Amino acid sequence: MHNFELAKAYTTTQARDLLAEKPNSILKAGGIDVIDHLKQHLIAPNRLVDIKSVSGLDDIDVDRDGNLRIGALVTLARVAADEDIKKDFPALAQACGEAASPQIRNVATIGGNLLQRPRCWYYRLESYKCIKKGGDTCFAIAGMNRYNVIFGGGPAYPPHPSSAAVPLVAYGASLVLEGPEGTRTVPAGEFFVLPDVDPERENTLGEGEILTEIRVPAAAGKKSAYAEVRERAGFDWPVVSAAVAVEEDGGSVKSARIVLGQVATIPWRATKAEEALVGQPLGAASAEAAGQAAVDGAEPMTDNGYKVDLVTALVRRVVASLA
Amino acid sequence: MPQEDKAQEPSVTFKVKAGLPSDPQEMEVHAAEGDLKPWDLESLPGFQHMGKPYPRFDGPLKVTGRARYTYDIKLPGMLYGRMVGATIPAGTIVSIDTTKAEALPGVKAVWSTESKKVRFAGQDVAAVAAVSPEVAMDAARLVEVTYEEKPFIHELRAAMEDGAPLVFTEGEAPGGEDQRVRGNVAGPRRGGRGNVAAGFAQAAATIESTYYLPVHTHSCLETHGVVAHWEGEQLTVYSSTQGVYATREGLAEALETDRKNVRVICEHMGGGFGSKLSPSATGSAFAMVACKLAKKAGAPVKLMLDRHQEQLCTGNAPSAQITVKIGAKKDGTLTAVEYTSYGSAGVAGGAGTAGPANTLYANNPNLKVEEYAVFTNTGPSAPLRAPGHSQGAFALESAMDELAEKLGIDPLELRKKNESSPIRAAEYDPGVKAIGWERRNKKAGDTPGPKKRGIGMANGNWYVFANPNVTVEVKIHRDGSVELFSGSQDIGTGFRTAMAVVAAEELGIAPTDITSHVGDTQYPQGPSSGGSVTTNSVAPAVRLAANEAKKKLFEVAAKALDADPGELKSEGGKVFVAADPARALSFKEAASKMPGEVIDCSADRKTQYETFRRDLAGTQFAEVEVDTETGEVRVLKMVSVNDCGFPVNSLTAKNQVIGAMIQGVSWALLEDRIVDPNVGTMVNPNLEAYKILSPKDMFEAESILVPQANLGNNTSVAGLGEPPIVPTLGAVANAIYNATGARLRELPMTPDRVLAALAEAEGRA
Ligand SMILES: Cc1cc2nc3c(=O)[nH]c(=O)nc-3n(C[C@H](O)[C@H](O)[C@H](O)COP(=O)(O)OP(=O)(O)OC[C@H]3O[C@@H](n4cnc5c(N)ncnc54)[C@H](O)[C@@H]3O)c2cc1C
Repeated sequence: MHNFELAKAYTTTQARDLLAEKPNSILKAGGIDVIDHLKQHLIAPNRLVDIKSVSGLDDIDVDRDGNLRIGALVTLARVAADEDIKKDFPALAQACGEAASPQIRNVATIGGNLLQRPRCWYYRLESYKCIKKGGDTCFAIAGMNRYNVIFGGGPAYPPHPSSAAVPLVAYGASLVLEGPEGTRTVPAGEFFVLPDVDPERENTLGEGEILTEIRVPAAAGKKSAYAEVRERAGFDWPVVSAAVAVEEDGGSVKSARIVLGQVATIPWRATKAEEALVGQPLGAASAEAAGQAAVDGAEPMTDNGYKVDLVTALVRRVVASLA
Repeated sequence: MPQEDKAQEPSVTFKVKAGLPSDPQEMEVHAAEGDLKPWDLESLPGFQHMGKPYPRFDGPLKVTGRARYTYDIKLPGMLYGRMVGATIPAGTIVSIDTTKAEALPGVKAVWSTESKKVRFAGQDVAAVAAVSPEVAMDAARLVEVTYEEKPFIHELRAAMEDGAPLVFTEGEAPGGEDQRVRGNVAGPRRGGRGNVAAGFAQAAATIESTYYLPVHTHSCLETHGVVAHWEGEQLTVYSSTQGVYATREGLAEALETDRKNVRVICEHMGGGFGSKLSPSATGSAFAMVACKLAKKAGAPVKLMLDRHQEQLCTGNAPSAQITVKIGAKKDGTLTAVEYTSYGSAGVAGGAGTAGPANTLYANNPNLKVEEYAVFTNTGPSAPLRAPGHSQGAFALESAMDELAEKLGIDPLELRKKNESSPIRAAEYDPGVKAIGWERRNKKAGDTPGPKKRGIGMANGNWYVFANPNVTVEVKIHRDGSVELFSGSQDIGTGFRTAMAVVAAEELGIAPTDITSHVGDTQYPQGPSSGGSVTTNSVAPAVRLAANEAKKKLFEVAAKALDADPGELKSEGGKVFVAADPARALSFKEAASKMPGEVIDCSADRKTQYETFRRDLAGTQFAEVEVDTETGEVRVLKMVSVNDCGFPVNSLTAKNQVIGAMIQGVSWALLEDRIVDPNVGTMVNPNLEAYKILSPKDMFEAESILVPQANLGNNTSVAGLGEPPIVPTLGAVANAIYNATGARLRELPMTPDRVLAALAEAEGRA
């Protein structure tokens, strides 16, 4: 096995220093995805900087105005169980609470969840030198692609794996990133990037940057919901998920965010569906229209056409549940 | 499986009451001389332990992590072995260069194959042994193999196409010289009776459908592996195996040493399901390789496969494409069944699925069966819990449902109408009651809302197999403690507990008073655990050995009680005069009278004789909920009704049945070995994307056992490990149909397939 150092950090500054000090160092939070990568020989870091021990990154906090802050090290289990989140940001609590399995949720951090790498089997198998690993093909195109994307594909086609990202984008969350050049705050919707920008990455996390916090603006006046379709109820990712957050004004929708998971290379804003909702009252008709519009631009691959139908059904269902 | 209907002469005749308690049948059986009068219906009410629920003895060890599995064995100076598998699906090995691997510090031995042909990815190529698993892994990665690649074929249906690359050139295919092989297709093996053309001509209704099941892997939680330890010529092998004796035989032959030099031990194992019947595995010789590495290195070697390797080379259940045509009269009486099956066992033969078609509904006069084996460049299959029967029953029992729909008959009534087994005939009603059959939709899919519930059922069958080559040893010590010894291993059925129950019944003490020692070739020989034979092969020898020991105990007790040994009885921990129970000794007191230190009795199993039924019946009911908008299926409840002769330990017996239903639901809804068509390697060689049912998917599972005196041996015990998985796939598919009106003819029944079937059903309506 590739030998590496394990360095424990107790502050974010220390973590950044440890990262910068040795080339090819990477961060480890819960380690669920990092350890998988090590075991599958997908990465060979010189140093793992363990940030599980960094203090101050594991708080959940709601301020007087209702703005939510979640430390990057808060586990999925804690997000799911938090009373404030369950009340005001139910889509987030649900997405985290249904992810994976109880054991994994107790270890996995929300930061790591947003930054986990795709699960496409070609990416995960060392023997397939795919475009996400610096090769020149996406094996899914001519291969077995039932779980791959219908939106935002090319030149790679893996679905973005994070369940938490879907409601966070819908809630208009932003991410606080601490790096060598200082601290920046990025809207979650802009943090994730398509593979045509760089097929080897899914986001714009900079060299040496640490995600410290997730900020979610107050949900006052917003209605939201989340749902997903699963082949297997536990120990698995959904095949499609959808989060919807709307604000109403006098009986009709003033603004809406509809975000799809597991169908695109990033958490996917279904903007046409959002447009279909705005100005309409929530109800069966607008839900149907949103469902239909949500698949605008879908480009199914050979084996994943079913995801198109699932998106329509799910968006319809989630919007209708808000009425 | 050896099976004899009649003991060889000389024999003793016993008149017995056989069959179901509700319908006792007089029967005459011919047991070998020296055998005991079999337990029959008259014994049933008097049983003290047989059929009662006993927690498995090793339960506490397992849940506290103290049970020692092969994986847990650690010997001083032990090295770690690792196999290197072929990375291509077809071609020739040009060279294997192990220099770099050997040069790595910590590497103590390497092995490489002499065979040059590669027919599946994962086939043995080389192996290493090193001081740690990490060094072994690094060394394995340093082995350089050069291949000349050849075109390959990855899947059953593609392999059947004209012009598909050939897995075997002429004369190379497994399955014997006289089989016909065209392209990748061997067969057919034919079977049947009567004249199907004439039968279909009489039919008022006929249906014909084709069903498909992908390859399913055993996915044992403990992967295959051994620890090999030489001391001079003496070899001890700890193995996660279903057959310690079979492993000993295979290894002794491969290593060209005497059997007496080889000891194989399997104290506990984490699942086999048929994949651990070979000395190594059907697609790997890792155990033999580990022994060779250990010899070379002069140190013990532990070689466990990892999950990825496990998925490639340790066997699987064949995929199958099955076409069933059934004709019936208006009242449902079957007039003809035509059954054609193409199965792929990868590079192996033996992909038959016709067991259920050959056995169920035996009153149907006209049956035509054709079974073909299709070769693909994938790992060889291995028996998997009732080999071929789950696939076959899925097709046949789905077709029966389709026929019922066409005839407008309740699917249960259709089965009852054509039932040929008196046992299954008696199993329907308890199942109907437990599932609430009357709650099913009168018209499929006829419920409001997107989430629809439905109930379905299916039948399954298995056979009474027995292995006669069994010896058991029972010891009663002077302090009254009792041990029993059987070489057979506990595959997870609770074998060691069940054997204690049998001995306890005979000795008149509690099962927990007995210590069972199993899974070691130092103990008397016992069968491999395959074919549902272990319990019913060993139990009769346990009873005989316990009976011998009891007779000796009675001899010493008789003196103390001033009675004749023939007057004594033992029950409830006492030895007493049957006619005067007050004249009694405790079992311990009786033992203390023995002149020596131990009463030590061995007994051979007597030959199997007439059985009430040669087949085992089973029927299952499933209730599901289908989300018709998302295609998600959740199983809510399953009920299995089975017979196994007399159950020995009802708790572990029901465990078997519930486990089989879980494995079956997993097969029905999730499991799918997926191979890339362009590269030819499995893309989900893990337990993440190769999906097995998770705890969250669990359903309410109920096992109902129907005890019956089946005879065949002195305990009337028959097998149970395999049969309860046979009906599950069909029961789930039929329940989905009842819920939605959509017929799922292809597994696994994932949302995409459910939605497609719903769309098809809508198109029909
Ligand atoms: C069987 C199974 C089922 C699963 N099902 C789901 C599911 O349904 N939905 C879902 O969303 N996920 C699912 N997951 C994935 C799991 O939730 C993620 O792997 C986990 O959340 C990652 O969090 P972690 O803390 O363990 O991250 P780690 O593995 O420690 O890190 C993941 C990545 O993020 C980086 N990283 C971590 N923290 C930071 C930080 N603060 N700043 C910068 N970089 C950081 C690491 O360097 C690494 O690249 C499943 C996993 C398994 C094994």
